[in-house]
Amino acid sequence: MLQNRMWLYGWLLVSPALILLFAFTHYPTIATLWSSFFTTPKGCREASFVGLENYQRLLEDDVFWQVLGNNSIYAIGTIPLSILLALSMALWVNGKIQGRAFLRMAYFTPTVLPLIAVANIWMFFYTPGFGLIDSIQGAFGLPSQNWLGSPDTVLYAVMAVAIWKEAGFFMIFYLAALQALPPSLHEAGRIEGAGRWYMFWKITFPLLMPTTLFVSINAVINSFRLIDHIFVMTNGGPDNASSLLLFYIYETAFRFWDTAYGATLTAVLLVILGAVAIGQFYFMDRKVHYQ
Amino acid sequence: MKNIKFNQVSKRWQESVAVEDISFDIPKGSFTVLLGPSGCGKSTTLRLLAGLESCSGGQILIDDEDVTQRTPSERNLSLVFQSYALFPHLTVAENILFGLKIRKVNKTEQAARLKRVSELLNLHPYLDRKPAQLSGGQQQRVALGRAIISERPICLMDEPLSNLDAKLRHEMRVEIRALQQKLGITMVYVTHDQVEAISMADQIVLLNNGRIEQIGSPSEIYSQPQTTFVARFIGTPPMNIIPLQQKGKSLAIAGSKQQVHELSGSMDIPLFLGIRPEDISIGKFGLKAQVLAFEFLGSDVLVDCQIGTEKITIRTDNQSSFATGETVFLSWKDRACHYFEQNSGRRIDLMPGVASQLLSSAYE
Repeated sequence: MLQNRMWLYGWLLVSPALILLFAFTHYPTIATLWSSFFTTPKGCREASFVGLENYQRLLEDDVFWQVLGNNSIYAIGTIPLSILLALSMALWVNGKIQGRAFLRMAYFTPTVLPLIAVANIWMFFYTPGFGLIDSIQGAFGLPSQNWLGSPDTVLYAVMAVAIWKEAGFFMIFYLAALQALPPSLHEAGRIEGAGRWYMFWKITFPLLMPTTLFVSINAVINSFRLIDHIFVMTNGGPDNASSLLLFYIYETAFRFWDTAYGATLTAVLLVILGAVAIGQFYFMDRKVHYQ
Repeated sequence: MKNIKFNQVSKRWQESVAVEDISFDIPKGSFTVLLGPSGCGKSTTLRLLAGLESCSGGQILIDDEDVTQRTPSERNLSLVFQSYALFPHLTVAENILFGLKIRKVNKTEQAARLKRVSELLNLHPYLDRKPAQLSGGQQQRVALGRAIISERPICLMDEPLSNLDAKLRHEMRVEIRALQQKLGITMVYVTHDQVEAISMADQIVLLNNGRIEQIGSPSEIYSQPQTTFVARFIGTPPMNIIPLQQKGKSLAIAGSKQQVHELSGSMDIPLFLGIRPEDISIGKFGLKAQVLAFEFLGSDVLVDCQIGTEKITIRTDNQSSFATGETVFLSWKDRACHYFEQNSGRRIDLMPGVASQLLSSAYE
């Protein structure tokens, strides 16, 4: 009797997690894929099955390719830089320096601030004429520049915000990992006469690989996910020059209400993120040493 | 082989004093153990010697050269850590060769030394494994290998055996000692385990509260402890330290009238009698005592007795058992007695003489 009821207890215990997982992760994913094969339902007609027609449209959509290109530049530009910055900041504030607690806090502040608020601060930096950057440039007699208004610079301007925001967050992970390293490993290196550089490349960096893997996967996901500042600063413009994939999905689905095409774009985003994450685990796992 | 000299070395961290004004010599090729309870400053002393900590005062000399300001690698010594400090992402071979690679020793030399060391330590089957795939004893050997492959004249060890089980610890003790003698290294070894110290050392430096209590060979430390601290630290169970009362020229155990020593003149200083549990025998003659407790240990027995107000522990291989409250007679040889000043805890040598009196006192 008891034996028979055990499976029920088991299911009851996992059900809260399962319900949440299905309701908010699995169902939306499948529903998205499903709707990408239909037309957008309108008031007067139901959605009808169109097969791969939405995907056909996607391949011919110039804006999609532009946005994908933007997002690639955005990812390639922000990920390595923010990780590098995070690692150097962590190494620095892990040392015995004056005002260490203050520095750590300062580096972490961007993470705590809401991105919307941050974007407004950066807007001020970039404002042509009296913004911070232009004021400094003006002091040296350089001409005024509209960073957010020019298609040539706007993407790099929003990338700078993302790097600034992300580096502090990743630093915390590196800092935690550095503090978990036994000091005796470095002492053993010192006894053998290893220099700082040798010690970093042969000991510290390899032992931080699990953190680097974790951080880099998060960085990839964030480079497709964090777009709040685009809304505030540029709205994707000018001429889609700062539009990213997720922003384009938002525009298509909730401004133009073309939900079927929005679902198609989402499916592409999911495939990209899934592929990158699997690839990272597959390739990097071999080089990562776990304790 | 090199000798080492500590000259009035101190180490302070703000208010707290870890090591205070210590001076001692370590002869070349010797096995010196820094011994003491935890927090006595023995590991700090070793780290000062290694150069991992800087001295607050004093000098450290290696072969009469002042190395106080030198970096760890300039001191030309190797160190085995308590936690082994093996690099977890490197294989056994890479771990052992770590230092040689830094110093860019040529490849054929590296291979030859690796072969020699791995055969010496029975590590050759494991050279391609990672440290996590080895047992504690094997990891310990890798750490040893990394220390001895450098062929540096001085080797330091910081409680290297404390993470091993009792059987392995005994084996490694023998191995390390044999290795040290074979390679002729000057070894400085930190431990809190008196058995390790006594069985391995040529010289023991016994520390307490950042100061040296006594320096000497294991037998000197055992047979002539200079303070009550040393007396109680070496030997299990620890030496009985019994306060004595002086009545005229005779010394008696506190709370009892039974004389244990007769003085040639009168003394003003209050004394302790120190006597090791294994030096007391239970028999038909001697000081009268009551049995408080009895513990069977296999090869021998521990008997707790009371004389006057004092408790005395006896270790004997006498296989008879004793009941609580039973009256027994205790006796010991004169040369087994140690005397210490009660105030300073320092050893004081009295004229030998009155052990024979113990016998007569039994007839009272």
